[in-house]
Amino acid sequence: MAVVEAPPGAAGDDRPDPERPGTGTGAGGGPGGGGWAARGLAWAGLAFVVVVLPLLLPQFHAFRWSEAVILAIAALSLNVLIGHAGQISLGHQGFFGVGAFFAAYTVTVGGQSFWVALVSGALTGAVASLLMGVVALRIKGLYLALVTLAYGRLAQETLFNLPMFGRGAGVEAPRPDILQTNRAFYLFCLLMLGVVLYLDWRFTRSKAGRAVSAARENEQVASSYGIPVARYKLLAFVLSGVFVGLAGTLYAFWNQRVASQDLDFELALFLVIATVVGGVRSRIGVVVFTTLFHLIPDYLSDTFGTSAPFLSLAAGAFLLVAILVYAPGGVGQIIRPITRWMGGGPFARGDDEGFVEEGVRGRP
Amino acid sequence: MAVLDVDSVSIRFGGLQALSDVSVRVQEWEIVGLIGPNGAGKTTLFNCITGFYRPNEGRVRFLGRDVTDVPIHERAASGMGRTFQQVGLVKGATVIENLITAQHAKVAYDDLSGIVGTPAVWRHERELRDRAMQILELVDLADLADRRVAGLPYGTMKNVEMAAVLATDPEILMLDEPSSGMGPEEAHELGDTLLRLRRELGLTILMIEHHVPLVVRVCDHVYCLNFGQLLTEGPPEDVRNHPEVVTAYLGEEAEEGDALAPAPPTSAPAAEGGGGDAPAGPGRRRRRPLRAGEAG
Amino acid sequence: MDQLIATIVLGLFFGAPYALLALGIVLVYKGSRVFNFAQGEFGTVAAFAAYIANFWLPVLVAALVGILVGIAMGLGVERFVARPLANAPKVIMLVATAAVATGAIALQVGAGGGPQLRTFEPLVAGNAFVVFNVAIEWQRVLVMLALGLFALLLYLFFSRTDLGLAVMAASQEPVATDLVGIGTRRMSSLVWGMAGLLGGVTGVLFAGLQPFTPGVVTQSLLVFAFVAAVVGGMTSLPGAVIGGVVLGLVQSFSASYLTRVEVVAENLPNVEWLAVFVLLVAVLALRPSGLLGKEA
Repeated sequence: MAVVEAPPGAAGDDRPDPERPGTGTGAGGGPGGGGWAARGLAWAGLAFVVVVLPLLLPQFHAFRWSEAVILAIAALSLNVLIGHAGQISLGHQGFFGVGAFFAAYTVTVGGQSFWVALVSGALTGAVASLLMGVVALRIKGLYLALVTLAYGRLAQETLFNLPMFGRGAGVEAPRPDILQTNRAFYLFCLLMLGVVLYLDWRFTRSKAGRAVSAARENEQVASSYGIPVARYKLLAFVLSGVFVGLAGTLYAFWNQRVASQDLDFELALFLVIATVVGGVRSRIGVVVFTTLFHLIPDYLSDTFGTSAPFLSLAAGAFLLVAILVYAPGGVGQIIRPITRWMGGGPFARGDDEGFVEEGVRGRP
Repeated sequence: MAVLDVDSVSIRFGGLQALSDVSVRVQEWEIVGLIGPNGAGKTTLFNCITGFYRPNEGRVRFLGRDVTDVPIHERAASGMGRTFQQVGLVKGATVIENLITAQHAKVAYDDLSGIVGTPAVWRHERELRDRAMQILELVDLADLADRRVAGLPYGTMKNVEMAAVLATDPEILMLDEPSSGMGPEEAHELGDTLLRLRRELGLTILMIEHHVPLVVRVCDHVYCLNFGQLLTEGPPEDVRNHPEVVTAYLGEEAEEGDALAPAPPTSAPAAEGGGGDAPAGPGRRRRRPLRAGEAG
Repeated sequence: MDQLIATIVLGLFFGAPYALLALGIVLVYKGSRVFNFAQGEFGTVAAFAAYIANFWLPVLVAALVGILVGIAMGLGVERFVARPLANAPKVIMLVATAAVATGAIALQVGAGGGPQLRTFEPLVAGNAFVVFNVAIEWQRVLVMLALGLFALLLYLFFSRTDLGLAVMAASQEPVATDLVGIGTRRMSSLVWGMAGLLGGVTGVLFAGLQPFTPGVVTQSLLVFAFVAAVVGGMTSLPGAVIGGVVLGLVQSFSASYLTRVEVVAENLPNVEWLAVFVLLVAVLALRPSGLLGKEA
């Protein structure tokens, strides 16, 4: 393509990247004044839709959008496993729920504040995920997928019905005063999504992300580069666990209670579909697809009745199969020209992406 | 002090004795060749040295430290750089990403600050990239920096792999058939590069190589393996003309000289069969005390 | 003692549907090395088809229609999912079959009239016998008979027919597929069609055991069936049957004995899931080849 000179990783990332020389305005093909104006307009439009619009609409829209943002965080967590580390989890509702339940427990039974719960939820998710990581050092591939599947069901059937979690009745999770309204809570979720995106971005651009990705592609080469492969696999599980624990925590306070029947196998499958169709290793693709995949059925059911969400879930599932067969890069690959352009690059696909991000060619 | 001291290493796979009582010693600044027919155990020896295999008997000492039980990545981090027969690169990554990843053990920040993104991280990242570019310039690959490895020709990949290993900042460079896939001219250039690397970076090199002219030109010392045992060792010319080596590996036409270049040894050892094996077996020679005063 | 015998009998009958579903999972794994997460939905979709057909047709004919739909779904998944993704990584294939399952469940809810309970009458009503206060319905006996029948048929197919032997050979040595003269595609269709048949039979019979909802086979049987297949060695058909029985016993024993321990009853709801999880991890960590190891 026309843009082979762009440095690796330039695409798809909507943040300026100071460590990357030569993509600024001076470089060949950089946008002129008009280009920047158009980009500014596009950014302003995006900011309006994402930040301002939900505050103008009735509260229940913000409520609905919050859930979409929470699911996007959970999908980014799964992206760390599937995309970066090349591990698969079919029991992600289990990790999500562990964070949710423990955060709710921290507040309701432990009497701690929301902010303590936020940390405890994320840490519990990390610990649960780390334990699965230890299992993953020994059990690999499809068999690991099976173990995570069984873990998810175990969490749903047994863990979340433990006496400390109300024997199936669930746990209350009252929001703090400052996040009482749905609009305020939505903005907080958005902020957390921003934090997760930032951390994931820094992860992929620092030694930990490179080590995890190298280990995914070739363990022997990674270890002869001096990378302790097992350690970085565990690190990937921990990072994924922090993200999903955080998502679970937000979910508990979003709903103001958490119960085991909300954390079923369908949630795990939703997250897998969202991550793979969104495009593994493509942060933006995952977020865009997850939110739309969640919101469109909701709004459809307003108009077309209650069977609409299920029909669109069915459509999403079959879309997944089509994406796997025809466009393994997912939505992230499809919208690449847009994200590239908004990041200051040319409106083009580019074929020189790095291996820790936007792995168009590299299926998990 | 020897940089690398392989002391009587033996390894079995099931019933197969892949290496028996092999001792190899590499001194600082030396370029040492490891030759022998296919299946002689050269790569197995590499794997024992670098930690991919754990020998049943014998020790591996590196820079005076016994590393026999040290995991692969620690050996790599302490200065053991190796290449692979089937190109050991992260093929989904670009050339420069491989070189940056290979500097893993030298990165000055910890994982957490990397993920949080402290200002120092940004500076260090730039240094990693600069150093990667310097190495690419050293081996004339700078113009390929942003190319994805998977699309490169085989010979180029071999060069990139060597650059990536250089990025790990090795004390010893262990090359597994560096000239495979190269024509005679490229192989000659490779020889220049190796000599230059030793001169400029003070590297020590141990290489598995079939291309005899290259071995003769650059190596100070050569070991010849056959059926998992050390057949002989010595200066390249001596080893090349050693009768057992000639029978076991090079074949009669060896004496013609450089024509035996890539010497695909498929037919030679098979044809010789037991004959090639016999002298090596019972009458196996002890290590010649070539370099006195370094027993340790 | 009475309790023990009752628990064992119950476990055997619990295990039969797991074993029946596990046979389908193992067949597909043998044929194309795929973990087929749609196997449960071959069953639920068949049950739905039978349920709908039963509005117009007598129950036996409706059951037959359901089984045919199960076969059709197996063939469809082979044609539109497994075949196009034949060269993709196995994890991708797994995700794809999981997506098929999700899509099928969502379609049952969305197009089949909501998530409420439905009843499909048992093919044979009433209790067959009572052991120590535990009643066993005729329908459960029927599942057991179906398991016996299909196990026998599969055994005869794979040991006595040329086609079966060819499939077996191909599963052990993929390259052999074309050598023995049956095309890869035809074999793949055959295997998936048989999996559809087994899934359909499981679904139609299972739907007669209790009121059912969309996705019932996936939710109630799939995980247990997978664990049964793994316990049996993943590639062994007798292993799948034994694994199913083991799972049934684990379930009945943990339900009737573990829950008698007060601490467990008080603190661990649905403790059989914990037992199954521990069994799965233990088998994979300690004996990854399962009870019956290799191909059989």
